[in-house]
Amino acid sequence: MGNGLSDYRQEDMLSIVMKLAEQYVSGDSTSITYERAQSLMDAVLYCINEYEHADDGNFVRAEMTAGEVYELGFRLVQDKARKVRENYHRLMAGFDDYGMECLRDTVAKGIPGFLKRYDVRFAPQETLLTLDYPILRDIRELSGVDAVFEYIRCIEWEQQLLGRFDRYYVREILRRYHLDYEHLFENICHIVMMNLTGHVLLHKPLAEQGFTGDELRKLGLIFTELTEEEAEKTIDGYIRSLMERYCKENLLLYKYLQGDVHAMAVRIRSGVSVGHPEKIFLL
Amino acid sequence: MGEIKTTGNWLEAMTQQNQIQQLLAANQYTEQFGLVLSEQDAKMLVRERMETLKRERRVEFGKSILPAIIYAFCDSAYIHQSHYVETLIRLQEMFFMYKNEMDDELTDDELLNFMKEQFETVCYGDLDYLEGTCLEIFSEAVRAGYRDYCRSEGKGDFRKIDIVTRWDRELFETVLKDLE
Repeated sequence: MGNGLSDYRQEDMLSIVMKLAEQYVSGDSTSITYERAQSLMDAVLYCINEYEHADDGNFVRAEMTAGEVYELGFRLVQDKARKVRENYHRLMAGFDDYGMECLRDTVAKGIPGFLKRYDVRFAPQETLLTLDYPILRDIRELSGVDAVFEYIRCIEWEQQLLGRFDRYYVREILRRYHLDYEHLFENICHIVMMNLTGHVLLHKPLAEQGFTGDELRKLGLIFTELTEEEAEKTIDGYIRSLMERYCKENLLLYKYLQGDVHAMAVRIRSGVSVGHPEKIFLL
Repeated sequence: MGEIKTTGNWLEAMTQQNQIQQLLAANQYTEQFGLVLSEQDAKMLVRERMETLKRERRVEFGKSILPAIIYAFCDSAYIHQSHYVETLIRLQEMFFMYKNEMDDELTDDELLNFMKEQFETVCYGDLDYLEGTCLEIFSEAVRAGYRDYCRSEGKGDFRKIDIVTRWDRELFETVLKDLE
C-alpha cells in the first residue's frame, strides 16, 4: 500500500494544488480564497487516497512523486464516476421504491443530481447529496464518488433481495409495519427480514401469511430464551439459508445483510420483551 | 483531510525575489509616466502583498496581481511619484478585499477595469471614494446578481447602478446666478 500522505514532500503537494488552482480559475484570476485552496487540497488528497486504497492492488513505489500518484488517483476517481453512472442505469432498469418516499427521492431524484453536478477534477470529495434513505452499511467515513458508488451497490443488493418477493407482499408488510410507511426514513429490507425471521423459525411457508396468537407467543418464547448473541447467530443462520434458497449464494448480498444482524436481534428482542411481537412479525 | 501548511522558507524567498524582479521590470514601462519603483519600494510592496493576502485570507498562485495593477493605473493623471507606492498599496488592498466581497464573481481584469474607470471618472483619483462608495455599491449589486459586467468586462457599468447624487454643474450655475 501507500507511502502515507505525510511522506509526500510539502512543496510537491503545493505545486499540485497551485496547478489545480490555475485550472480552476482558468486564467481569469491570480488568487483564490483560503477556503477554495483548502478545498482544492482536499481534492488532491482525495485522489491520492483513492490510489493508495484502491482494491486492485495499486502499489505506491518509493520513487513515485505526489504528482504521479495524484494523476493515477484522479484517473481512478474518473473511472469510478463512470462506473457509478453505469451502475445507476442498471439499477434504475428494474428499480422499485415500494412506495417509500425517501428511497424514491434519494435514488430517483438525488443521484441524477449528483451525476450531473459531480466535479471530478475540482471537488471529487464532495458527496453533494445526503443519501437520506438509510442503508444497512455504515458509509459515513466515505465521501464523494466513493460514498455514492457504495450506496448504489447497497441499493442494488436490496433491490435484488426484495425483487425475489411479490411487490404487493413487500408493500403489505410495510403497510402493516406502519400505515403511513411511505413517509418513514427506515430501511425496507430491515423490516421485511425481521418478518421473514418469524416464518423461518416457525418453518412456516411465506404463502401462509399472517401469524396467529399462538405463533406469536411461540416466537416470543424463542427470543426470550435466547441471549443477544444466540439471537444474532440464529438470525445470521436463517439469512444464510435464505440466500442459498433465493439468491443463489450471493456472498456480497449475504455480507451486506449480515451488517444488519445485530440491529435485527436487538429490535426483535426488545419487541418481544415489551409484549408486542406482532409489531415485528407482521405478515 | 490535511491542512495546507506554510511552505519552506527557501520557496517563499524565491517567490518574493521573483516578484521583486517583476515589479522592477515594470519600471521600464511606467517611467514614461514619471513613475518608478526603487528596490526598497518593491520589497515593501511585496511585504504588503503578503500582509494583505493574509488579512483577506487569500492565496496567490504563480503570478502576482501587482504588476497588473501597475500597468492598469500607471497612465492615470491622478497618480504621482510622491505617493505612487502608497497608492499601489491601497489599490492592492482594495483589489483583494473586493474580490472577496464580490465572492470571486469577477475576473481580475473585470475588477481592475472597473476600478480604473471609476478612479479616473467618478472618483477623480480619490481612493477613499473608490473604496467606500464605488466598489461598495458595485459589490452590493454583484452580490445581488448583477452580471452585465461580463459583457462589458467591467467597463461602463457603474452608471447603470450608481445611486449617489453628485456635483451637478447646472445646479451649481443656477445657484451661482441666484447669488449674483
